Amino acid sequence: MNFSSKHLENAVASFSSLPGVGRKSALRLALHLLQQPQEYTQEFVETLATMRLEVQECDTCFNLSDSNTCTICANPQRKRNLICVVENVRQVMAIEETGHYHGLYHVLGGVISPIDGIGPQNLNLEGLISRVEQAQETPEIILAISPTIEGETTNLYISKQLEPYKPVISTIARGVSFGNDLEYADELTLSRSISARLPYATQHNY
Amino acid sequence: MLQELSVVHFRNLEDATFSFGEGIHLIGGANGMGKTNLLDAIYYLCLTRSHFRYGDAATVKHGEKWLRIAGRFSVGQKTERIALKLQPRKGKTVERNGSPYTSLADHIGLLTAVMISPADIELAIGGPEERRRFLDQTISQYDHAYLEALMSYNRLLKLRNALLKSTEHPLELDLTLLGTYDAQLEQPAKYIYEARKAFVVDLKVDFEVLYKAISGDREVAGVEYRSKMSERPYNELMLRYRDQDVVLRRTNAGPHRDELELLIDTQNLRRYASQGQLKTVVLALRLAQARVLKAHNDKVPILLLDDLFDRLDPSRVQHLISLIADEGYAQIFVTDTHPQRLKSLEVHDLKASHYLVENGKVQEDLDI
Repeated sequence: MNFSSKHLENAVASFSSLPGVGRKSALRLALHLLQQPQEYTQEFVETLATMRLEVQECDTCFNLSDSNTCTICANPQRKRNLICVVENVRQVMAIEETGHYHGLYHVLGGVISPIDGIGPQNLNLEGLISRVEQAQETPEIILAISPTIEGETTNLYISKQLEPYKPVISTIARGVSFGNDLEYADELTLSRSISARLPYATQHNY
Repeated sequence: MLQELSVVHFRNLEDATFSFGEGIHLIGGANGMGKTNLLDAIYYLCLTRSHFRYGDAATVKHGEKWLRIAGRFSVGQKTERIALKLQPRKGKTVERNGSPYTSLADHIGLLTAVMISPADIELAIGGPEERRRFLDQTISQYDHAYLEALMSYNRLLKLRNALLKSTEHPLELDLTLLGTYDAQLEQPAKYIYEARKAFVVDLKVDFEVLYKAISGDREVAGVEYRSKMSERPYNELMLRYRDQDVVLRRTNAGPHRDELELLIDTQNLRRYASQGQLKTVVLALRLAQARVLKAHNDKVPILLLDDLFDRLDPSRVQHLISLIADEGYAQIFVTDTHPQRLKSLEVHDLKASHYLVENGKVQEDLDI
């Protein structure tokens, strides 16, 4: 691409450094900002800068927060003896979206994968252990981590680390997705769903 | 049975369609003309990969971008039309009666073929990984769960080895994490071990009988499955080797270190056997493989014998051919450079047809 402005070229390069944005989309976005009133672009940039400056991790659960304690941890309505362990912030949002979970969270910030150089020390694990250790009443732990080999390893590792405190640990159910036809489920999922089948009555307890 | 085969741009085969019937197909032609490629095309279509270990890209004719192999098979009473395409970007796709498979693994087991080529000598003289590959390829043709166990075992092993290599000093290693890999590896490792053990029990019987028949009773050959998992349960095995694993920074025990030992007169083959004995072992191993597959899948494999006379004296070849005639193979394909030697194979009650391959073109050879 040939640019008549060096500033435009720099803006395009910045946009295209974002995930999922190519050179052409970057140009479209940059030109769009250029065509808006100056105040619009100013406000836009300030919003981003403020976000970067102000957003931090919650000291307790490592969810994103505007203060030391996130809105979920600070909410007195939440059950304090129920902790849902997730891989990242997007999963907190997905679970919150369901509106059915009323406990607390713990964001690990990844899963254990030595091939990618991620060991237990790179995750927010110690925070979880001290939360369990310091709780007055041992909380129940729900492991809501993707059912991959790395996720499974992380689940096992966490349960080993928490063993001394003897918490009740569960994982989210794996199996045939709701509203889907059984014949479209893949063999592995289907065979696991059958071996880990549920007593019928419990399915109505939601 | 393969009734019709059409090949476009596979190795040096340009564009050709042939019809085949029952019996033995004797394929002549000079070196480098494409005889082996014709056999490999049949193998490729049955098992979605070449018998040889060049990558998929190397199977496309030089200077071309795509290949297509299609065949019409009769399986029991039914006709199956299989088409395999390799295209740039789209990769490899296989269609059965016009509809593509979602996973290539689903095609494995529908058509069985056993190929024996001079390159198979690696089975006898190569490292243990050659024979583990033989075990894996055979068992996964009749046991889909085996293939799954193997894939998860390999992925977990890779992670475990990455963990062992991740620390500067052995004392820094997180043993709890190492233990979680061992716990996850146990189930697939057990499955692989049990399946291999059961397979070798079947294989051994056939192998010994077939070796005797081809060699003409001259010596006794044997095959033994060796696995550390036969010594103690998997979790104990892993604990026993843990220190060694930590120091050497890799996993030293488990199915990935198994061996299928081949013996002649109770001696290890790799040290003592002659070229002819090695070739006989390979032939017996492959024919035993065909028998086991036949027993599990209830399908008679297509037998592909590439360069049959390689390393064998005429008496062993004759033993082999009469043996094959008795085994009830519906279709056999044989290649050799020598028209006279091919003609010598006509004597048994198999219906014989002759083909000649020249510069990637195949024609029925009516002169012989």
